[in-house]
Amino acid sequence: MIPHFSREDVSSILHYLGRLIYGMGIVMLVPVFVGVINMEWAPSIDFILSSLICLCAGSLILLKFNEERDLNWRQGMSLVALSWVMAMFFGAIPLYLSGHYNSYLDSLFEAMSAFATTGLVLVNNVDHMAYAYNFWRHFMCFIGGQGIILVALTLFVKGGSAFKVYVGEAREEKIMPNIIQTARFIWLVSLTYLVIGTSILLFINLLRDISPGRALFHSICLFMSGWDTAGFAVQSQNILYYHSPAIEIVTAMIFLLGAVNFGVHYAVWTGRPHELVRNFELKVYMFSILALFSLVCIGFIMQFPFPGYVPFFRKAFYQLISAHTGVGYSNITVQHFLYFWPPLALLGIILAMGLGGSSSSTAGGIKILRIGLFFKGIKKEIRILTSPESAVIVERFHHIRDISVEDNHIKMSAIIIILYVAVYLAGGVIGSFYGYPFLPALFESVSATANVGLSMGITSPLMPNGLKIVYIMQMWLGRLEFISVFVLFKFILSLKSPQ
Amino acid sequence: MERLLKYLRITYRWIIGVTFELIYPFITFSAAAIVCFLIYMAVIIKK
Repeated sequence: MIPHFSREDVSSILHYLGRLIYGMGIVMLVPVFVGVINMEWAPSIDFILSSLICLCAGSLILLKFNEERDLNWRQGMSLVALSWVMAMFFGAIPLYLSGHYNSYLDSLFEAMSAFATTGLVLVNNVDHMAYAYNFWRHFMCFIGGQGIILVALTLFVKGGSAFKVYVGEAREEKIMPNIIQTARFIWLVSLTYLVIGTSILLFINLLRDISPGRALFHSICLFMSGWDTAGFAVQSQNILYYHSPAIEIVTAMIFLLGAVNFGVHYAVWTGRPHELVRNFELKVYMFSILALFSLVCIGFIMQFPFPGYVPFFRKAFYQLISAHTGVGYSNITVQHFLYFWPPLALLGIILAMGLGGSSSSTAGGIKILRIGLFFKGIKKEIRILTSPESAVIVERFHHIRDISVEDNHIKMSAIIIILYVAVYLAGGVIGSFYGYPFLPALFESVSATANVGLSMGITSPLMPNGLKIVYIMQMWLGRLEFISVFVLFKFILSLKSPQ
Repeated sequence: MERLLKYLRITYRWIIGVTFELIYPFITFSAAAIVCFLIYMAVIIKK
């Protein structure tokens, strides 16, 4: 029997939640700075107001629940799931105050989409949005992609609690012996590439005669959204706005690096560059890209809506890797997807989105390592069945170190794969109930759950509110990989039911 | 002196690591892209 949650559990969870909300208030001061240097006074006041709301709410919770205790597993998991919901509610306040959203629900959708690094948008007239609001949209992607809890870990979660909340945020691998050091290493990698990526993008934008201030803003936002595989862009036309092969190549490099396991980054940065070649997950990744792009190509044999082979390659390949890494950057219009892409090519994109990027990276989806492990498990079973009974069958793979495939690995991979597929299909069916054709509904559902952000036009401010809530749930579930959300549901149910 | 050497070694590895990571996706992407494109052209030509 699963034990009930006690008053002590509630108190521990709320204490850390109070700290997180307080932290949100501090983080909201960054867009104030952006607003002030751009002389955007009204947005700056909105952010100061939102920050004060967070600081007051956080302080009130901390006053009531001021005792700091080490968290156990169920507390840690529940805290993580609840943190993302609270981040959405508080992060949406400045968005709603901006006046670019039809309702608070729309701004909640956008905030969850940003934190979960999905990239589906409900914003109106983003092309004329103030810099401060637009920066906040991208900054939320950066915080969410790093992990809200990971941000908190580096600031104010200590001791034995750290590992429990770290795992709850769908990052199982401890790169370094100490979890705080791991969190700091992840920050080091991200900030290093922030400097490098932003500089290269800035250089390209300056060459394209964009004014220095605007070029810097676009470069930082493109990097934050690309590295954390979110897919938000400063302009409504996303990457298509730039019409620049150079920007497409650089953003592709950024989001591919963002979709690489932080353990691999650590190995390469500490004198083991051969990890890039030997890593099992990266090998499966490349194979998957090749196979799915071939599928997309076959889809376009009968119907070819491009002016030539080079534009075809540029658009289709960019869309595929964008889908596979979970970034959702797009160099074509929604209408192009909707009216010109044949079903087989769309299936290739849906599969790429569903499979996702590397584990312990900023990407979403099932994760390539699980797919690889699943097939390793099948191979192991076939070898067992075709070998003499006395034979001992060991299947190995290289992921940071040499690992032998255990039944437990295969079981956990299969459970997560089944859960993802079930949610993908459920979202597609719900979309159909709302009157959308099944293929676009499935496309949108996979895009939301795998935190990709590509759209076939269903996601818009005019879509039904029920569907907006379904997609918010899918983004949340997909980002946290189910388990911590299930623990939170158990927590809520145990509060209602008698002891 | 030992500490300085240690930091130099870490910095050297860090620079090498970042360089490799920046080159790696470019090479593998180009390779994957060329292979995919060849497959596509082969299919088109056969057709």
